[in-house]
Amino acid sequence: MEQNQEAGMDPPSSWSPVPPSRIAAEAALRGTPAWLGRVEAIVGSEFVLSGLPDRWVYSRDRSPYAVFQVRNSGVPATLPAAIACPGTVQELAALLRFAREHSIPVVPFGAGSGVLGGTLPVARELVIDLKRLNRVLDLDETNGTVTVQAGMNGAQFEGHLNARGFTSGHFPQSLHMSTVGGWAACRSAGQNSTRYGKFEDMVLGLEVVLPDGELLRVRPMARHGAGPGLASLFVGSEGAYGVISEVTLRIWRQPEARRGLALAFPSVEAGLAALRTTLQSELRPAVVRLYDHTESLQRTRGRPPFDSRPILAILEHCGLEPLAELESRLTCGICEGFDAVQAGPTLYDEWQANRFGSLSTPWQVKDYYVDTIEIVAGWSVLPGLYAATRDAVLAISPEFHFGTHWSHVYPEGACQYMTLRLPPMPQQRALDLLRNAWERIQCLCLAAGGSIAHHHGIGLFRGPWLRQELGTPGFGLLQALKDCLDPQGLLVPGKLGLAAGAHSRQRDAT
Amino acid sequence: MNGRRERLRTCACCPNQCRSSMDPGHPAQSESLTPSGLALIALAVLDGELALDAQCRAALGRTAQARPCVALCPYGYDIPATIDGLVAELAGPGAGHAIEA
Repeated sequence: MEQNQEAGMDPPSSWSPVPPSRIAAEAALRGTPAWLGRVEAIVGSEFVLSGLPDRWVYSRDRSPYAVFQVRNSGVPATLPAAIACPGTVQELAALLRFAREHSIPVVPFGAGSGVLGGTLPVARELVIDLKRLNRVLDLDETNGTVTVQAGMNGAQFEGHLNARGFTSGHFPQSLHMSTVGGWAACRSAGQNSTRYGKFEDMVLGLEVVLPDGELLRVRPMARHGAGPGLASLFVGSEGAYGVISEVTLRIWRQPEARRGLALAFPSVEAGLAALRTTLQSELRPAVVRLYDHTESLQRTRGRPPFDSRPILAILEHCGLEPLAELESRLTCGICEGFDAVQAGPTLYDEWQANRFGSLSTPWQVKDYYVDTIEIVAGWSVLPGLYAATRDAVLAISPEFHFGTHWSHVYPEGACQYMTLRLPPMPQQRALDLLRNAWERIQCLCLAAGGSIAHHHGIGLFRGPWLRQELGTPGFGLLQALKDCLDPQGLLVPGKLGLAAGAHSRQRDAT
Repeated sequence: MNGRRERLRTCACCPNQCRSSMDPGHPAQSESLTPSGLALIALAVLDGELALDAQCRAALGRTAQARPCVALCPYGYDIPATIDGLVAELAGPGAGHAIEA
């Protein structure tokens, strides 16, 4: 049996840049993998990419670290060995079977919008790009469900639903450059999550190709009591347990009406208390966004209500017109009880117009270092956690820009989404400062009883904190599942903080 | 930073809101065909990280699928035209000389 020499390679240290010269030299040295012809036989030679330019393109995701490296004429990790683009689930299964037989590490790839290195190749993987699996397979208007292949572009998927009077209710900022399968793999959250839920709340069923090539189907059901929910093993597993090839989702009729609101609060504390009261009053706004002083100022500078009440909140209610109207009015009443005033429609309209744009890109282009960290905590600790994280970051370096908003809000708590920015400086220094900030924020969050991640996932960079999040028995269970399903540790090596598979660990020990 | 490099760098760093305008029915669906992927290759060429061999020229020549993205570029850039211009410059009479970054 042909063995892949790099299968057991350790991933590079997470926060250390790899010199570009090493990448080029490595690529030249290793050349074309011996198994390439076999992969071409599975998917067709025109759907296998092995040239250096293609491998270069697949060597990054949208993690800030990858952006810094790209900006610095480098690649973040290693070049993949090749890229295969299956056109059917049978081809996908054949690829995984072949990879297992020949010990070839694999990274499934949607559109590469992840920000934590989940698709970064670290062991000369075969990248499996799923974008050819991009069709809606079924839309059941009676049951309100849709079955869609994993590689479909998010905006094209939503457009398909809209044309038939439906919506998924899922609008991540990356809507236009992410895939449905990527949403499932990383437990994505959209801007309307408060009403429609996170992606795991939308998945009714799925099909996944296991690491041995076998197809597992979780049949779509409204609810069930037939043992543990198997779909939950794969939604959020980031490809570690198998490759999701299709999902069946709950969908909704497009809302008849939308009511946007912009509010000015006197303080972050007042805003958080108002949002908690709104959610706990069983109102269900679709959009809820509360910005701290820094982020409010970016949007409200010079506008009247904000000179005395500097904290901005953007909300949207939607649904049947009378219901949207009533919910909006009730929410306004609650917020006014916390000294908020309405700020007119402009700020809501501006948010709508720019909701999928990236605020980071212009800074990244100018050599600033921008990173984002999203955590979750209960209402009881959020105000204190916000102050503690802000103070901790600014104590690491006063050069940090630190801004926060709370944009996924639930009856029990909310997501705190922080943007960190450093001015141009030597890259290694910036990486060290950002690494310290991550460490402090993740530890403060865990100490407050929160979760280290809301919707960006774990990937390569967040792995070190997952054990603390889950506890030793919980993390051990994830590892045991990995060892069972993928004993060679071939799928997404180095991700989710999981160790190489049981076979690899046994081999290394001998 | 001159205009071309800034355009390419912005596109390479941008999340590419434009890419949902790419044809889902086209047989080839790969990152290398997106504006961002093309920009990444072009930057690597300009930086001397990728050699200007036939493979690289072919990769930079595959701009057709990215053309619908121009209408949706939040920066108003025409990345396919920028890439085409670069390729033309590489293939032109001065191709043997240093390329203007």
